[in-house]
Amino acid sequence: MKYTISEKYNCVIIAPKGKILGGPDAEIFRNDLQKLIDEDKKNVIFDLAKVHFMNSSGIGILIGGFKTMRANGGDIKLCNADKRITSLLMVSHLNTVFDTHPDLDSAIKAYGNG
Amino acid sequence: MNDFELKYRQYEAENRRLKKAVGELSILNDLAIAISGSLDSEKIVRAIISRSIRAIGAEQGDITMVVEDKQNPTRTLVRSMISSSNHSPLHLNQNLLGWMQINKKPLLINDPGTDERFRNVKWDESVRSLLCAPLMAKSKLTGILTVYNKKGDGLFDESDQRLLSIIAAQSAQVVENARLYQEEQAYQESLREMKMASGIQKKMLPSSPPEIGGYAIDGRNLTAQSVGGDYYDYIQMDDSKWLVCLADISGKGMSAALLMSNLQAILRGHVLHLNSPSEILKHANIQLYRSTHAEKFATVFLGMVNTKTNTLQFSSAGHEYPFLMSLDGRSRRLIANGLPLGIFDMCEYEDATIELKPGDSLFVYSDGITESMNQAEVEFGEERLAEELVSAGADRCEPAKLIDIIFNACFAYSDNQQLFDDMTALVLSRNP
Repeated sequence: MKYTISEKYNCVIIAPKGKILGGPDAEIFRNDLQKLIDEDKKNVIFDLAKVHFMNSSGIGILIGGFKTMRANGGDIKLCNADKRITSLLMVSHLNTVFDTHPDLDSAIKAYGNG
Repeated sequence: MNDFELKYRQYEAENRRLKKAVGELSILNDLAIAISGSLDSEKIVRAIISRSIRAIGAEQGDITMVVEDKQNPTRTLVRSMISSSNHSPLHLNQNLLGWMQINKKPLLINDPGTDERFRNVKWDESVRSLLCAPLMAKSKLTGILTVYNKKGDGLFDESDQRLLSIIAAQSAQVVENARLYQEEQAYQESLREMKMASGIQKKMLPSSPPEIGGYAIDGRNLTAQSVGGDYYDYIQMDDSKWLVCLADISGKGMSAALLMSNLQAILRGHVLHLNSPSEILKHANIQLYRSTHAEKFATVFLGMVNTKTNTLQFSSAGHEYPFLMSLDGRSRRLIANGLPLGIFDMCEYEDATIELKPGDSLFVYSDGITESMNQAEVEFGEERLAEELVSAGADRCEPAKLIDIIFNACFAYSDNQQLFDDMTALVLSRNP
C-alpha cells in the first residue's frame, strides 16, 4: 500500500494509491499512525480517491487504524470511496462504523474545520 | 663463513621452508577430507575451527556466520567455538565484525589494547592476540574465521595469517553450501508441515453432502495457498433443522487457517444450545473478539433451514449477500445486516426468514469468487455471477453442477491464473 500523508486545516490526510491489500505494508502504516498519535495529530482522513481495490486484509488495516485512533481519542474518517468500496463497506455493515464522506471538504468540515 | 657453511645454511632454510609447506599442505589436505564429505554445517564448522587452532597454534577459535539482513546488517547467525585451553569463550565484537564487513581481508592483532584501528574498543582482557580471515562466497562475506591467543604467549605472524587465509578460502564455499543445504532442509520441512496442515484442514470440511429430506445440498472450497481461511459447514440441529454456514476469515494462509478452525469449533459448539442464527453469531463474535486482534475478522453467513415449514431463517456477519434463485429464473439477494465477527466486543445481529419454494436455490459464496480477476485486472464481479446463476437454468437444482458451472466460469474468466484468494460456494436447493 503506497500512500501520501499531508495536512490541511488541522486534519491529517492519508491518501493511499492503487490497492489496499494488507501484508507487510500494514506494519509501516501502523507505525505512521503511532507517530501521528505521538505528535497529537488525531484527526485523520482516509482519502480513497485513488484506491481502486481493497480486499478483506485491506479492510482489516482500516479497522485496526480506526480502533487505534479511537482508543487514543482520535478518529479516522473516510472520503471519496468509489462505488465498489462503498458497497464493500455497506455489505460488511462497516458503513455504520466509519464516518464516510463523499469528498475531502466534507470530511474536513466534519472535524469542525475548513 | 666458508662456502660450504653458507650452502649448508641455505639448504637448511630451504628444508625448513619445504617442511613447513608440506606441513601446511597436509593440514589443508586433512581439512579438505574432513569437510568435503559432510553436509552438516555444525560438523564442518567444528572441523575447520579445530584444525585452524592446531595449525596456527592458537588457544581458541570460532566462526561467526554473517547473514544478509537489511534491517540488521551485522546480525550473526551461528557462532561455533572450540577451545584448547580453559579460558572462558572469547567473541568477536561488533567493531571487528563491522571492520571485516567493510575490508573483507585478513586481520592480525597482536596487541589489541594499543591497536590504532580499534582505539575505542573495549577488549576482553583475556584476548592477547587474534587473527581473523574472511569466508567469502561469490564475493560476499559469509563468515569470519577467527583464532585467539597464540600459544605460549607468542605472537601471530605473517605465515599464520597466510595459512589461516588459505584455510578460510578453502572452507568458505563448503560452509556456504552446507548452510544452503540446511536452509533447503528447513524449507522442505515447512512444506511437509504445510501439507499436513492442509490435510487436517480439508478433513474439517464436510466430506460429503448430507441427506436432507426434500433438499439437495453441496459445497466446495478451493484454497489459494496450501491452507485457507474460508470454510463451509452443514450442522444438523434436530430432525427437521439444519444450519448451513459459510465463513471467510480476512487474510489468507496459515493465520487465516488457524482462526478458521477456531471459528468452526465455536460455531459447532453454539449450535448445541442456541436456536437462532443471530444468537449464534452474537456469541461467536464475543469469543472471536477475545482471540483475535483488531485487523483479523470473519464474515459469516448462517442459514437455518427447516424442512417441515420449508423456511430459511438467516443472519449475516458482514458477509456477501447470498443469491436466492427461483424456478422461473428470478433472483434476489438475502440481506441481513451485521458487522463481521471479531471487530467489536458486543454486536447485535438480526434474523430474517424467507419461505423456500419448490425449485428455489440458495447460492452462498465467498468474495474469492467475485474477486477473480481477468488479465486486465477487472473483477468477475456480482453482475457476472448473477448472470451465470440465471443462465444455469435447471442445473441450479443440482448443487454440484451449479458449483461446477460457477467455478468454471471464474477459471475461464481469470484465464486459469493462480487463485488469488480462497474460493468457496455452498448451494442448497429445494427439490422442484
